[in-house]
Amino acid sequence: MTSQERPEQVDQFELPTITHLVHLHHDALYRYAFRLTGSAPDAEDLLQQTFLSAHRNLEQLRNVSHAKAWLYTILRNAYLKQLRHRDRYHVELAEELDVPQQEPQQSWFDEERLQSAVRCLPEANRVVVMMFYFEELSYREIADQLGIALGTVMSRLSRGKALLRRELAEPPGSAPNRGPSTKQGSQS
Amino acid sequence: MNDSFDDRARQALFDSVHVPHGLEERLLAFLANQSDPANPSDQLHPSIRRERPHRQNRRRLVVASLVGLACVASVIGLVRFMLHQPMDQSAVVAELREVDAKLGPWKQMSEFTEQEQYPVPQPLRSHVHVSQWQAVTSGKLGAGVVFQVQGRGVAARLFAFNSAARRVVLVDSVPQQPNESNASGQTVSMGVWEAGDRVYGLAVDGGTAEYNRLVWIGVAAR
Repeated sequence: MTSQERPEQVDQFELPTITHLVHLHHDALYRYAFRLTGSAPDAEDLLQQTFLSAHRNLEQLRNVSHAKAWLYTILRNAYLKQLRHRDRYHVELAEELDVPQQEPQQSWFDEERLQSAVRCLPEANRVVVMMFYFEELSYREIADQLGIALGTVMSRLSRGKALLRRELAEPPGSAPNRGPSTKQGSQS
Repeated sequence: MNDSFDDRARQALFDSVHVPHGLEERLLAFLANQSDPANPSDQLHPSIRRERPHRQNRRRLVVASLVGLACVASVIGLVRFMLHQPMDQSAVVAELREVDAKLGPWKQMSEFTEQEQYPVPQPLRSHVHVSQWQAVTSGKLGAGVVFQVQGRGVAARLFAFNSAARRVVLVDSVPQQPNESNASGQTVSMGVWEAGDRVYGLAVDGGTAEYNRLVWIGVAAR
């Protein structure tokens, strides 16, 4: 069951509980965590940290309608904090990451190649790409949240997209590549 | 199917990740273990929702403030209503009797500097002698002055207040009939009236006869 199908919804003006937040958003957050970490156990650990932090700072959530974005931000910050710890050793983790235990799915793309491409992205690029696709933030919003220049966001995203584009073979008859059309400030 | 690369990439990155079974339960169990049992607000499951204590307090504070404001507004409204109710003769007499009963030490007229603001009104001006004075304050009439006066062998106190301080409904000259009272064992006859911008009260030691002697006999003779 996806979060969209869940019958239990929180009223916008009601204060949510961490139970509600877990119930509604754990699957989306897990997917984000998995794409960032590339590992199912690491993703679950990251999710635990995320919800624990959310539970302890629930009073910071001003509006229930922003809960998902708020949780995404917590997750991303927790991940970046982990990265800073690892970066002390300057180890490129791509080769060390576990191969995720994924159930086989019928897709128009090769999931293994996709995940491999994601793992091959430098960490900085990967975070930008995931913020763009999962959090659906504009270039400007990404730059503001990460405290980097807009041009840096554009170049990192461009490189990340190029790699994904190679792995996600265009299905026959599909439209040519285009930039995001709905997001303000986004360019391709 | 989405017709842009970004849409398809987003879909691929999102949908192709398998969410492990039992993840939600494991997360909730983890959070329950991490909750501080000594802190009720940190509990995961009591009533399933954790109200924010400071927001609750804020809400209570707002409600209490509104109730307080409503009470203050009601009191102010009541006081204003009562103040705007005009005082009639009996109310002014009652008020002056209270003031008369609580008079303080008298001062010599040489110390009085506001003769022009507080002239002795007609028909008393011609035949009463003002010997002493003191400032007085009435809860309903505001600040005023009282003079000790004498005339034709009758002693009295002449009160004068600013009529702008309070709406009054009084006759516009010294009344013919005083309000006689014997509350403290001594008879005092009181007459109140309004002249110009002053409310006057005349408290005569004695009954109606003394009152009339002080006020009217000389006048009638003229």
